Amino acid sequence: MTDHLKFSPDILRRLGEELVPDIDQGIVELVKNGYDADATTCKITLADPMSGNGSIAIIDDGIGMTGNQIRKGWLVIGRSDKAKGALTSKFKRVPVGDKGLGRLAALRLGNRVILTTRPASEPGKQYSTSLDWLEYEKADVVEDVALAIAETETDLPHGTEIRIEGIEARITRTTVNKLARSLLLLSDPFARFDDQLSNGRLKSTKRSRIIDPGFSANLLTMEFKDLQAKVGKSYFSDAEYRIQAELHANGNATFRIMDWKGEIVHEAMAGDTFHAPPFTFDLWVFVLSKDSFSTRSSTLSEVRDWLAELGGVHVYEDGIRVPPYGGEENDFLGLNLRRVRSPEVRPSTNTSVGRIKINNTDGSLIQKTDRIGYVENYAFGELKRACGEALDWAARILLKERERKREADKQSKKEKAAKATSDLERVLSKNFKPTERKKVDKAIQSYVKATEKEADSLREDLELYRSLATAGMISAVFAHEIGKPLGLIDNAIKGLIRLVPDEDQRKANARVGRIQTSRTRLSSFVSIPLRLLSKHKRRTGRIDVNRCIGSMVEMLEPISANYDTLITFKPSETGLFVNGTEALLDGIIINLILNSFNAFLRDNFEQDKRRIKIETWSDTTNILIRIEDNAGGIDGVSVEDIWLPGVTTVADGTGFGLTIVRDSIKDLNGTIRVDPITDFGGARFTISLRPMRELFGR
Amino acid sequence: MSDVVVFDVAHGNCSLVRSQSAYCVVDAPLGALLLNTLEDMGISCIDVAFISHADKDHIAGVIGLLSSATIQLKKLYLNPDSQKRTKIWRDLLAAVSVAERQGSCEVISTLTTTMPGTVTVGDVVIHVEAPSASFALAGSGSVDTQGRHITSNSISALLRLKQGDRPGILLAGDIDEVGLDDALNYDRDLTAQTLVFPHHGGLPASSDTTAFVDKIMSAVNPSLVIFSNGRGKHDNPRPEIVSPVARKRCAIACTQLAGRCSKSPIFNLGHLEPHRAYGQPTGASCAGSMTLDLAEHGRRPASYERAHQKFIDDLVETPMCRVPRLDK
Amino acid sequence: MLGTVEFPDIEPPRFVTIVDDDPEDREDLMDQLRDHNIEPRAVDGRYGSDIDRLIADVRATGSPFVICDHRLQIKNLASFNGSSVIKALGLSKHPAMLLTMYQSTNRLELREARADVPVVVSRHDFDVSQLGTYAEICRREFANDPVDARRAHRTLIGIKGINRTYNHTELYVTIPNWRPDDAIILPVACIASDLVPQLEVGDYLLGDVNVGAKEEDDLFFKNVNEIMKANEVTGS
Repeated sequence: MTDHLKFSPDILRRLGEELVPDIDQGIVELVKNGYDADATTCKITLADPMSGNGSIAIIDDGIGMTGNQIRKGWLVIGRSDKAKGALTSKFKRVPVGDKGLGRLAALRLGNRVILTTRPASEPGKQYSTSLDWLEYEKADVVEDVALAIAETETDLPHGTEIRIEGIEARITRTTVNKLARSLLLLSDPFARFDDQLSNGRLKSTKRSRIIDPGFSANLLTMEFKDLQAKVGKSYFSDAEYRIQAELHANGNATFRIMDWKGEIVHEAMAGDTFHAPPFTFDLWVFVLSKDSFSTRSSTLSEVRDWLAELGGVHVYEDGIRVPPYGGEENDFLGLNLRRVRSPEVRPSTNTSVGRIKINNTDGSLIQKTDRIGYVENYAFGELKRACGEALDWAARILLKERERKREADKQSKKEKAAKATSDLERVLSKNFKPTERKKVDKAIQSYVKATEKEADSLREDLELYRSLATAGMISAVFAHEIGKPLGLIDNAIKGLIRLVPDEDQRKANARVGRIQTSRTRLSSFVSIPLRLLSKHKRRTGRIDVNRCIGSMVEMLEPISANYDTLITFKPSETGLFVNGTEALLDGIIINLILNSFNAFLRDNFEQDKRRIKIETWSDTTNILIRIEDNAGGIDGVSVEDIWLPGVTTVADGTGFGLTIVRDSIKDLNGTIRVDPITDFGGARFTISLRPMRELFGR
Repeated sequence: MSDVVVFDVAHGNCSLVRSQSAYCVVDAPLGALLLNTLEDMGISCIDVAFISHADKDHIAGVIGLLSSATIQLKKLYLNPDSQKRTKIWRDLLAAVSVAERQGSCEVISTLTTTMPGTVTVGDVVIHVEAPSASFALAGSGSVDTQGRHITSNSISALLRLKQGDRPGILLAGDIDEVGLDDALNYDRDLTAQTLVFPHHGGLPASSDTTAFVDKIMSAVNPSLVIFSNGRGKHDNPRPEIVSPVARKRCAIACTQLAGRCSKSPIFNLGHLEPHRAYGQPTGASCAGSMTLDLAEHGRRPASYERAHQKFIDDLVETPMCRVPRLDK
Repeated sequence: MLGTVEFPDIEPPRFVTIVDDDPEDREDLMDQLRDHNIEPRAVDGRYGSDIDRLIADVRATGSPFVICDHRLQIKNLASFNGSSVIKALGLSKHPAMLLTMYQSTNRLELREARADVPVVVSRHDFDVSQLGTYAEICRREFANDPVDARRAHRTLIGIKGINRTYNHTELYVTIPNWRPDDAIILPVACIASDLVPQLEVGDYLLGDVNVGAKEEDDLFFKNVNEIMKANEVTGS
């Protein structure tokens, strides 16, 4: 007798589950099969999704299957009955669905699958079959389970229904939302707007075919309706501009910037060719500011929600979406990364929505077996490169435009100022006698002078901030670099010690000890700028005030030891939390502590036991932080003036420390009070911050 | 006794004429070397000073002299240079104003062959051999009779120092061929025993170097040529100047050791005169500061000259002042 | 400062006293001295503002030469700085030198004090073998025969820029016969106080400056008490 390779039912589970992890993605795969069957609509219903025994039905109006097609195709796992590149029979669609393992995974979402199908080729006929997965669990090998295909009469039109029953996993709202979103985006929602947006110019790239009425998938739930309303509405005309890259079959690309009406404002050929299948990349960029929406019918929040739903840059291969591009947290073109380099004229995923329409007829782009994205091959790399070049090109153009606009603004401001002056002159000469006129002129002059002075000082502040920021960045860069020489010192010391003859070891050890102490001091000093700039500290969120101050005091330990100063920190007994960034709080604390150090070092100020005391506590409404020292208090400058930029009592000090403190506290919505001298023997700063307990505090 | 001290002031020029308790300074660059030297010599009054032309390396020290509280300057000769809108020129004006306010200094703003023509310092007569009055009046920025540009350097004063009929010394400032031709057109006698070569031995701006050297060497016919140069600055003196001078078989002495002569500084003190030399502490001096005897032959005392030659022979690797053996 | 050439054969002092608030730095200096067979002596303690007691303790060590750190406040040795110590020792002609890091914060402070501090050496350039020279520089200064780099001459000081901020004035000046093209900051404390308010860019001051100084940090200013207004300078 002939033997066969047989499969344990386990393999079915493993194959499916591992390939498509999510329910929503599994269902989308089944919907795609509907598209491949030249369906125009596909309805998805969910029953008792939260019960642990739910069911899903996917019903399309496609061409259906005959008994033979079920037998030879649908029931054969892993076979694709069409060669790649072959188009569907009716609408000449490029098949997008997965006939293989992805479909298996979807079918296995529940305990049972019932397939009912009415082939267009055999009107009045209906075929049905069911897969009972529990039966497979019991069987030794897959082949042992017998299947029957029933044939009945019907007067219903052609189409296919797949019903998955006994779904044990609870289908949560989140999953439903995700599914709704995936289904909506599955068939290019942008396509509906192509006509109005592109003036029909894109049509030339489409292949001629029997007119495809299109394909839509509807999830019959409330969530879907809401979402559909959101996504379905078009806000494209609210875009500030649209960046377009069109890659032609010969590898040449055209880059364009269009205004909201779709009119081309800038156009250029790319300087390079790209080896990717022809595609069109569109990116609608929005300026989400109150100003820009003040004159429009749509509201800022509407557009913001819409953008949040629609997400980033979606990829449509022959009209069907290729996930995960453009999905949540997916930024495959690196929009946000590019933005870091020049934020002013770059879109982010939050302020733009885009689409790449690909004609993948040559198959150089290959979808991964799990149906999540393309294989990162050369063609895909070229596609990304072309899009990136388009974005860079656009950024350059926009930057130039903006500079031109700024110049023009400046000019018009000057003209306005000149006009205002002449208007004023006219009014004055009409209303004042020459004798009074002199007084008025003088008053105006002094006012203008004061205003100019203020502008001057602001400019100076800005310059100083810039140079300080540069100094900070550079010190951080070199702090990174210092690790190497430090390591070298360690090794050199060890080597030297070995060279010292035994009788001199004691003497040598004293000196080596000093090198080591200095090395430790050095590394603790250089770690400070690094810590202050470490990335996680820039994010806004909940700050644990006590932890933040505690670690700051600990970090400054080598410095306070250096200044012979004892810093004591008495945190409140309970946790204190504020909303903000740790960097802000760090900046406040470190500047106040440095301020105290400087006060101790003043010429002719005597303090044998230098102390800085930090306390935190909370009263009924606020979080309070108190920092005081015994450095003699504030003198040589009036208390109101200490906050002013550039005011310093230290030779060559920048006078910015307390200004930064003031501004940072303002950013944290707090207040600061200063007592120039207290019983403790120095200045006392009391900071009051809003607690965050209503949101996060426990 | 009358002599001239040509100081090692690095890049720049500075000479002190001493005769019968009368003193004269010609040019001085920045720094305190001249002031310290004068104080140590117990000189509290300079009878006359000259600024050959309006360059920093000739003026800055005179500014110090004008403002000095310990040394009085009685008379200052210089040519105004209308082209010089430099900061140092304004500094000089300020210093002149200070001196004038104190009523201590007479400033004479012409320095030409006719005015003052000659100036007497003790037994020494200083002959102004250039520029001519008309040349100075034309001034820098204009062109000479041959259509060549007259620069600040062109109107450098040529000062010939003589005691009686003895061979003298010619201080040439930064004069170039245009300025030299002005003197030669008027048949000025430029002969001197010692020539302090113009422009620190740097290349003249716009003429054939060899022709210029030939012209000045045959007009002066010196037996000693001094380059007042700064080691490491402007690469002076230039070999294109030094070799034709050396081929004239005349002695050469540079205040400082040119980089081309010795790559490293030489810390050897034996041959230097006791006067301050700017290059001494850093090993940059070659001949250092030099005293030239006007009452005798117009050259250095023989012992110093010998010691200097020996220093070059023994310690300087590639002295430019030595004519290559092939030529000998 | 001065090279070895000017003072070729000067024996370093046999005992040297060190005033330094940082024990590590102090020990390091002492070891350096021991390596050159010089016996180090140290002054340690808390002096607050009592400079007289510190001077007395220094003198009690009996060393002919003192090395003093500039910033004594950091580790709270004293509430005054090292240049005050050098100045006080100088009053009784006790040779002493100042060691400093030349940090930007104290460069101007040092310029103010520089007239009374003959020798300032940066920690990086400190060389024990030069101690004899340093002592000689002090000796000549006390004998009223300062070395060239320390000799003051009446000099023009050109005002090139004035930066008046909230509570102090900063002057950028050039010294035509020192380096006419380098603007440096002249601390207003060095200028006769009645002149400060009338200063404008383009004015000149007259003062005693050691124009033989090699480096900017070696310059000192004394008796800056005459002014020549810009409009008094003809041709400007």
